[in-house]
Amino acid sequence: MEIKALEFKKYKHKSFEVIINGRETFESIRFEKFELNSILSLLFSVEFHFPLITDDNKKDVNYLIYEKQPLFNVTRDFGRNLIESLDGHSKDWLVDIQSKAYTLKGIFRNSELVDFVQTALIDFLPIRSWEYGRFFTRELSNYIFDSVDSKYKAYEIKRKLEGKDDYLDKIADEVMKSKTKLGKHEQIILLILLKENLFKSKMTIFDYFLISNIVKENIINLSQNTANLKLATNEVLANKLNNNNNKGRRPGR
Amino acid sequence: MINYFDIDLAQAKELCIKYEKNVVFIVFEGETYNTKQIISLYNALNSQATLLKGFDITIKMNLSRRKALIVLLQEYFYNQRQYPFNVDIKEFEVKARNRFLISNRIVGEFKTAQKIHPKNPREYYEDENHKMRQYVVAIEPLALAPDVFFQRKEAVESFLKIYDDIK
Repeated sequence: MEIKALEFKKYKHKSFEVIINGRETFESIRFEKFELNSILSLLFSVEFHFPLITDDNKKDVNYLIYEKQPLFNVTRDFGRNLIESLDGHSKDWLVDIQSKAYTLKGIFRNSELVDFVQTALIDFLPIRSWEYGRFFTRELSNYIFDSVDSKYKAYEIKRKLEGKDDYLDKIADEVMKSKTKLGKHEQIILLILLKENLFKSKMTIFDYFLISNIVKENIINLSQNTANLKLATNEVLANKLNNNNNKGRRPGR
Repeated sequence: MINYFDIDLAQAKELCIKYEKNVVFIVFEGETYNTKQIISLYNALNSQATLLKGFDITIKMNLSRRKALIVLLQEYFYNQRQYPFNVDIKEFEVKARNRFLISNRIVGEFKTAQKIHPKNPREYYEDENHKMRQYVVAIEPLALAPDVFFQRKEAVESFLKIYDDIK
């Protein structure tokens, strides 16, 4: 088997809410391939972010399964791409799984499905997690740098910093000065997000590993704070690295 | 893979800068790249682990219980034709937890050394194709990137032989 870099595509997804609609939870169901792949991609997301389900995080796991936050779907889509790219024995295993029937009740604890997701998907992450980091950074960038205005401001800042050895120090200073309330993990994500969008060619595998690990552990906090992250980004962009704080505009809520 | 850390923005920035000076950039945008390149990227990251010194970072890899135990059983018994009778899996689980972050909560049937990482797998899985297949998938990432997972390098050669024989 060869490990190939993932080429990200959009696949037909059916949400769990729609899948269960009109079906009995104890009924034995043979799902359509894309339905089961949709379920497996959600299970990937659960196993990735919550390898141990406890009473404390049960609610969060449900949030994830029912796709209550757009950020969760990034992990789901990454998992789906992993599933669709399987080959060799892993693919045979998947085909085998797709041919069987399952009950909706407890499907996210089904040992056969969990074992497959763990063995064929999650266990490849030690050598794939930077790809997750990169995927996540790009998806988040699409959300945060969503206007021509923000892209133009980013370009202006890039021109100011181009060729400077301490460009990352300067960006970190701006993140530090931001008046938007950010946790320390979000500050790090913002730093790397700005680096990606200003100096993509300088991104290292470490940057993506770092993002991947932060997101893995903190998806709940992060998804609750994406609006703040966007606010802080716009604040940094609006400041345009002007050191005089008085000139920096603070975007209103 | 870094799994637990408690660094702040200033430390993260410092680390990013360190890596920027020492690690290859990711420049194969739009290209496809192969296993070897992915592994070499990983090694580039790992070989710079000394850069992490002084930061409160523990490097532990996420691995399912079975895979972690496969690594350890291979390292301890690679040169033995059969497992001794008294292999204590609990003891190996402790070793596994020290080395890896064990992520799989399901023990299932994998309770003995032979069931986890069988000697003579062809014979052992003779009539059980699907179990053989699951075993191959389980050892695949370990065989593709042995340097990432194994500490005792002398155990790797025979491991790759097993993989080549059954893949």
